Amino acid sequence: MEALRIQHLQKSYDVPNRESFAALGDVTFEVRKGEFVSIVGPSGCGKTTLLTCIAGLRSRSGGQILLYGKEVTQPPREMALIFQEYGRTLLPWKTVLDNVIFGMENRPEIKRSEHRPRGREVLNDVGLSSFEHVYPWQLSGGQQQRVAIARGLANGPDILLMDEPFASVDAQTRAELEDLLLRVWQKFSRTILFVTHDIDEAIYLSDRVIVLCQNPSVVLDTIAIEIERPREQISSREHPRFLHYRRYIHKLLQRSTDTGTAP
Amino acid sequence: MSTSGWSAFAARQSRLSGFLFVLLLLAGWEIVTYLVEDVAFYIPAVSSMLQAFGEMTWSGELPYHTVVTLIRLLLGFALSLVAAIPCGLLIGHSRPLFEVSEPLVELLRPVPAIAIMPIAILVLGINVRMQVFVIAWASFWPILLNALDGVRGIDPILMDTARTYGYQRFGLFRRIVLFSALPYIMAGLRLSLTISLILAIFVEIFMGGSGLGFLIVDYRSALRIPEMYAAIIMVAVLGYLLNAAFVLLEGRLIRWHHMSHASAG
Ligand SMILES: Nc1ncnc2c1ncn2[C@@H]1O[C@H](COP(=O)(O)OP(=O)(O)OP(=O)(O)O)[C@@H](O)[C@H]1O
Ligand SMILES: [Mg+2]
Repeated sequence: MEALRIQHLQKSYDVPNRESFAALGDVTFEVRKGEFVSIVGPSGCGKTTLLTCIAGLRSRSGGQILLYGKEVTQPPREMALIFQEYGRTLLPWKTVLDNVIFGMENRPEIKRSEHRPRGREVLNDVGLSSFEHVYPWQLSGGQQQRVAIARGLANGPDILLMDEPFASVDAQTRAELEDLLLRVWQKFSRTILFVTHDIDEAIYLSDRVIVLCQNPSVVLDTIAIEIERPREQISSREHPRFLHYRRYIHKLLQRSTDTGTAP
Repeated sequence: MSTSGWSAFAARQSRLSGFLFVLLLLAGWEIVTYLVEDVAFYIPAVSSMLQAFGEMTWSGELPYHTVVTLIRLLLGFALSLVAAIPCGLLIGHSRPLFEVSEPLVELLRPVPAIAIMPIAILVLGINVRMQVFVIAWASFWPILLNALDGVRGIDPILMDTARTYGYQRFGLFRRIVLFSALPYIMAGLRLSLTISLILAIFVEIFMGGSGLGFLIVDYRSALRIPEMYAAIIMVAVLGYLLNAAFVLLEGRLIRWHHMSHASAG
């Protein structure tokens, strides 16, 4: 079943005293329910722009975003966006647990008495159960990121949009968080649209990888990743197909930047 | 734990040495007044000031006028607070409102309260209402500007986060804007509390009748200099206590702010 369809999405930013800047040229793709899809592309190609448009936070200049067949006009309940600057998305005046239930508090269909048990359960899933009374600024970057993910999950969205969530943690923590994400993805059977500029990470995590080029960006290609699950950090990355995908995507991006620099 | 214990100890130590320094100055003052005879009339010995302070406290005169000044300044402060916080939050939150009111704010803000007084007298007459208005005028601006800055300085990513969780207008305001702006508002309130005290003393000096400001001019014209100093000392004590009480309240309300900034720095 199709969860999300992006059709001919365009987005230009107004720049004062100059002609507007076209970030997204013409982006089209779809995401099926339960799928793990990654978007890769060079820095500044419009990945964040794309996610904020899908999340209903930015107006678009053209095209359509359909969520279960319905046009997205404002932030929908079915989606949660985990921001690139996750540290700045946690409320400094609330404890970790209160941050996690912040989203639920705005959903009348979830009973008040359920907030805390549910929040604790998700915190346990991300391995932070002993930190519920701590404030976010007392946590490390990687722990803060877990809180942000827990908050997204606790809200029970069908679709999780994640913007380079592991960009600023060390390699070890990053591998841990990747596997954690795969576990919760399977446990809660969610749909995930994952943005990264790390090609290896995209291949390791995804069912499909969408490659974007420099602005105004379009989809260069979509690659189905046929490596069996559950994935494993070492063996999956040594899979012959892994290396094949990796070389292919590198070439694709290289060629696009070579031709893209022509005036 | 042990490090915070240490810093508390160090803070007590430095406060103690500051206190000792004041005592040293007072002792020096006392000695000078004995050595230089002519000075003693204008700058009386510390001991004679303290004596006057004690007598005026005992007679109830000093407590009475202190309470009068306190009530006057708190009325003005409360009036400005009730007006400035909602104004600042609203103007900061709404872009059109900000654009409309910014020139007006920039125009009125630099007008000193002293220059407003003749107008206040004309409109309200010479009474407590007019005094409270002048105090409120001066105290209004720091609160307004800080609340405004606080709202406009909110991290847009924080707002976007709340929006992805479905919070809209009033929800955003109540759950995000209010809390983010609180540290700024508190800073404005603290500034305004001191300004309220200054203005209260000013209107009392200017108009007489009652209060510590009145006491100061009254004893000066009677040439009872130690009593005049006793009233001035009381102003200083009142200012100190008000600020201390405020810091205590602020610590309760926005502990998260100070601590998160301490951990970031
Ligand atoms: N508010 C804005 N106004 C004008 N231009 C913008 C704005 N936001 C982004 N842009 C431009 O749009 C382009 C895409 O930005 P975006 O943040 O989406 O890139 P990104 O792919 O997420 O980059 P990164 O990998 O570095 O996070 C950039 O060239 C950027 O300069
Ligand atoms: Mg980005």
